[in-house]
Amino acid sequence: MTKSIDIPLQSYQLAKYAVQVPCYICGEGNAFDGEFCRHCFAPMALAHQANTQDVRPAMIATLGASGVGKTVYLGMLMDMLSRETDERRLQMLARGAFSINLQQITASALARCEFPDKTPNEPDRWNWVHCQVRDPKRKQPVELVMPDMAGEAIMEEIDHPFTYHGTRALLTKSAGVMVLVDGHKLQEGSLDQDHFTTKLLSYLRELDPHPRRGWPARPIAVVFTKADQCDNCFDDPSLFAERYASRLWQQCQQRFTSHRFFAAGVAGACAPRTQYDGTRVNVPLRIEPRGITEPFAWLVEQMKIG
Amino acid sequence: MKRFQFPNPRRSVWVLAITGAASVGNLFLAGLSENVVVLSGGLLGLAYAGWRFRGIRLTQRSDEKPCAAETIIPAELPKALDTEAPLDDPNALVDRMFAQGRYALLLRRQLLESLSAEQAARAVEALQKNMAMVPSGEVVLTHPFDAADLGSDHAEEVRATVGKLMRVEPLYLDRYPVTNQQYFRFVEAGGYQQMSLWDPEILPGVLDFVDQTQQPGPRHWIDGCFRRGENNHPVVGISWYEATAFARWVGKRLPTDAEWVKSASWPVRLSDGDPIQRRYPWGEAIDRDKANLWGSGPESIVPVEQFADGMSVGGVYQLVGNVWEWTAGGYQHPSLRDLSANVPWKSLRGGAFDTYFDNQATCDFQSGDHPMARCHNVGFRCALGAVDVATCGAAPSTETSPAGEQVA
Repeated sequence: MTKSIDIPLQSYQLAKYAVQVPCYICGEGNAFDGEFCRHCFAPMALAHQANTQDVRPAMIATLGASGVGKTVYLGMLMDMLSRETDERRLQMLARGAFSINLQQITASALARCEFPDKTPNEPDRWNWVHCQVRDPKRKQPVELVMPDMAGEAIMEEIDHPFTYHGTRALLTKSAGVMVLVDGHKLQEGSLDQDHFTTKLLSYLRELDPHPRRGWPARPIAVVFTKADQCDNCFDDPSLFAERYASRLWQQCQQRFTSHRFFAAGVAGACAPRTQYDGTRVNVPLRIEPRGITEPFAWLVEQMKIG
Repeated sequence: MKRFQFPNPRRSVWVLAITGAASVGNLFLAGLSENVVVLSGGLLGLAYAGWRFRGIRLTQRSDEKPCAAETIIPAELPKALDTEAPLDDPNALVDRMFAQGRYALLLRRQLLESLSAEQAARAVEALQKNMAMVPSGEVVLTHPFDAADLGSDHAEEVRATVGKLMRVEPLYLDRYPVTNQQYFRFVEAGGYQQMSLWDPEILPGVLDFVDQTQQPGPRHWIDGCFRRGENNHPVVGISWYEATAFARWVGKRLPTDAEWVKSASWPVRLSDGDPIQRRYPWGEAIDRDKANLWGSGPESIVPVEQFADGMSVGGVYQLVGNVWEWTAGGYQHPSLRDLSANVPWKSLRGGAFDTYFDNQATCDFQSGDHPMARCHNVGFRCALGAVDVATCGAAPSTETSPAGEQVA
């Protein structure tokens, strides 16, 4: 005896794979259930959010050499703006659980008087942030995407273009950039920071040299980090730049119409710690953020978005 | 009360000229009609007031080096400080010491014997008004952050040393951090020139302890004086050595770490185990209305008498929040073995107006800094061992007060 049963034909679901979902960062096609873009390794959640919630977030890049403090700066910025309750000030709301990772990692480490681990070079392990920024000067909130990229990857892309597809795509599309420079090293006389940042700005200009739409007209916030260890940096960051990073200062004056210098510090004091393997690392002895939100607020104000 | 002075003779001439012009204008308009006179007088008065205020604002915003007269002469200083009291007059000398806030010196056994009864009572009254009694007892000192929260490689090492029980003898602790006004007295009395107040090793460095106009004083002062309106703000921008020198000058000292923690956490020992200690001076839970921390205050330093709700059990203000406080102890952390080999760092306690995390503004959290650091948010308060005070029978009647050490 035969018995007829109904077997649902699910092969139609394969059709989903036939439709490519473009990555929000690089625009290349991906499968609908991919976690990361297979081309640039940006999280596909950005693309899904853009499609389902009908938002087209602007992008802000945070650049700087390795060890300059990008993760600490971004994580602290997010945490501070997320805690802000005064509606007359800038506020931030994370979109998506993945967007909270960065501030969680940073705040947990700093509360323990440690700096967070170094950001890995692999793009699929970077922390991406999609957030909504409420600016009292704007009627509508601003949607932003800000990745925390590894310094080595940025350097590699600058020295060898097209090495990191996602970095290049992000920088092409970014509405503004925060360039982080180690103020403490600059004051100690290190030339590397000055050279690297100058190289970075040259790269940006070559990426899109259009005088009105390109990088020469886009806002650039140059932030001297670790300013708590060079307190005079807070007095006049522009003068500090002219004095200790003359190449960078000159480049900004000549080639970028919308730029400003800032000073920022997170730790009140740092001390060297000898680890068990003999290596020495700096640890923060207390957390006292200064000048963290100002560069970001200026950048949001300057950006032609929203 | 603030006493403003004209900054220079040139401005005085201008003020006189404008005042004269206003008078002449009034007389001229008096010939027209009564209403016009009243109106014109009012307008001229307003114009003068506007000009006068504009002058003050311009003075504050100017980048020029302000002259001494533009800074505030602390008006609350008694006359004894302003006049040249003869040094051979003991009464005048005592009055001057009271005016300078150096009553603790008068309470030394050697000095108290030579004071009159009225002067001795006044010294004791000053002590009780300005300092809080902290009874003797034991306190547990922990490390910068809770071992349970570590989750890192050195957690075990920290755990092994957590819970050190320290014995604290009775002491008096300043109810408030040292203010700009109090520190001004020290600067004005030539504290930076009295070498006996300073540790010998720092003597060459004292010349480097200058303000923004290269005058001796805290880092952020101008022309040897604090900024207008900051009389009662805690003094900041001073190194550990400056704090120590001031404490010596007023006859006190910096509190040790154990003393500071005991004053704040107010331990109670009910059995043989560790004493019960408060996490914050007011209790166990963070309450941002009770301390000037990040996100709870005006994001700047406030006068020392504010946040009264956050005072300790013993009546000490702002032990947590507003400014970090230097203590006499060194900064110690088991994992910071190579920390600045030549110069031991000094301990900081209490958190400041910009302290971000709650767990770094507790009674037992310890931070540290280089003893020559002059940070924008680090001040201090002074302590006085009870054994150093001959209380003349007027000391607080606590179990541990040095009642038996009275001087006739």
